[in-house]
Amino acid sequence: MVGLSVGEKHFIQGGIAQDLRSDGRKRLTYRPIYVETGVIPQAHGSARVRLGATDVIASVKAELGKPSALQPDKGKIAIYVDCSPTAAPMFEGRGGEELSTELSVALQRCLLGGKSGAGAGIDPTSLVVVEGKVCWDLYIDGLVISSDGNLLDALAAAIKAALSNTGIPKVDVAAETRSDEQPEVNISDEEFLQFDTSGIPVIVTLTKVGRHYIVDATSEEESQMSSAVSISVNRKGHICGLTKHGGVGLDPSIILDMISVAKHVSEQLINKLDSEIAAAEASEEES
Amino acid sequence: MRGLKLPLSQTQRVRLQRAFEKLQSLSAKANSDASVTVADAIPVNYEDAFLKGYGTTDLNGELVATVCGVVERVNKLVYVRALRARYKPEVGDVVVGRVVEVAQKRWRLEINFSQDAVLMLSSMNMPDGIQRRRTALDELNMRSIFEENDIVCAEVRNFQHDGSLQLQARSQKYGKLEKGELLIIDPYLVRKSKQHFHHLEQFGIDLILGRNGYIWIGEHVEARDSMVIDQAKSIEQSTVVEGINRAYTPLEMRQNICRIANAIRVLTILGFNVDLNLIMETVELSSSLKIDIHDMLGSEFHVLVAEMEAERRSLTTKRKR
Repeated sequence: MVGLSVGEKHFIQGGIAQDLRSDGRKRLTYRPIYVETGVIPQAHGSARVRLGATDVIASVKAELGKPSALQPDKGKIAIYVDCSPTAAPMFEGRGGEELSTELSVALQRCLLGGKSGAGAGIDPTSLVVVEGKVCWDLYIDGLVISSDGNLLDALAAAIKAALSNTGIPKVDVAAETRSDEQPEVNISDEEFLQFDTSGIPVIVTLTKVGRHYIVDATSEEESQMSSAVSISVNRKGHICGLTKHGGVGLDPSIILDMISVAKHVSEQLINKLDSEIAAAEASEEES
Repeated sequence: MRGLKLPLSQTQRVRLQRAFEKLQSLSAKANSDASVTVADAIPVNYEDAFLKGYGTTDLNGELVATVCGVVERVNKLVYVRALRARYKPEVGDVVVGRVVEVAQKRWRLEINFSQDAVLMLSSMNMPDGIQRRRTALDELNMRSIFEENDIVCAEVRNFQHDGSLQLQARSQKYGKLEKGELLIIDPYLVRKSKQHFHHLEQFGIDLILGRNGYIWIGEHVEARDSMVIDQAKSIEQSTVVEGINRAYTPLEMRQNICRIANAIRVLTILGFNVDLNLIMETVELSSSLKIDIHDMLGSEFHVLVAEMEAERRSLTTKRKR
């Protein structure tokens, strides 16, 4: 990240205080979001989301596996994020590892729900094929191609779009099998099951600069942040996850205020994202 | 700003296509064989002796381009000038750079060139304005003039024998730039012109079009006359500047700065040359149509600007004939 001079930092802080950021946005306005689906044909579902200069790709691959003994009626979902060196020179080699783990953990917390699987964005019971024996393992991978701030929001949007685009192949189970045998499965090539993604939450990151919070910070604005809170909200307005970044401590009243602001912003964001995903799917079908 | 990744509706796409076709038909150098892409054959008279320059290669006895750009011919030399290349400095160019290092008796500036440019302490006016030899104390106080990450405006002085660049900031209009924002665009969009410093009186804003693609938009700063030494005033100014509770830029000036910045962003996405007239026309178009500052980055405004430019160029060519 290139440094900023004192004058530029002052200008950015002044802009946020006066509700006019350097590209003319208000404090609570998102950059235009562009969604493309089906960008990786080999994956079961994929999407690319551009938020200004931030560019991320999410892909979903499904494999047949065995459910864990503790939860025989649930499939498994794993989320992992990788920061590509093309995004920033500091991501070369192992430089991006810390950021990748931080993003992966935040996304897992928001989308996968608790240990028992309760409250997950995607219902893991819909992934089971034969209880106790065969289930789908979903591997969701995120790749950061270009970083200009607000990676978490972009990744969550990309995962939501990729899951809407995902088609899990239909599985036919051979009927007569003894209970201790591994059943034969026939994976269909034509029929696909779509996920119901209306329950998947979005993430709204509020960055605090001075005394004000902004939504969708660019990397220059992020360099000025004192702290940031990422709140995951679903369509019903329920909070699915909460992560705080940055070293500066926050008063609890400020966090409560940020949560209410995030709920308000998330309504517009969810609607915008759903319409963009629908448009992307429509244009993908045309081409 | 790479690529035209705007969500255009069908009508907008058609309008944009039409505007671009109009502009292409009006372009002065209407020789379509001048621009080439990679692996295009360059039209050359093979009987004449010619020299293969940069960006060309001999493939199966044919001269083929290796980069995307424009074919240039200088006497017998044929070469391809790439468009999206790094900045190619010329002596006398006005550039805007960022300080990356404070070294012995010099500052190193990053100017979007293959190497960092050097600004010698002796090529910089002293804050008190007196012309004198730089002492060891001056060297120790270099940081009080420019620090790391400061934005500096300077002029290209010459090339060193090892290819590195030397800058100078001798006149009062050069120096540190504060209270504004820096935009980075492709260098080929800023053409050499008589004036690179523009003081927009109606907004009270300074606009500096650096030839290296760094554009500075900020509050207007009066150029101090170095001959007038006002010790008390200069000390007072420096302490005010260092004060933490400096007033923020007034809202109206900030709106104008944002509008101009967005106008430049729109022009770079469309690939038009960035010069003052075009910027001012884009700004006037947006304020006359009462377009919100952030909406200037939407697809509708891009299409309007393309149409406006096509109109303007067709009018100027009609006037010429």
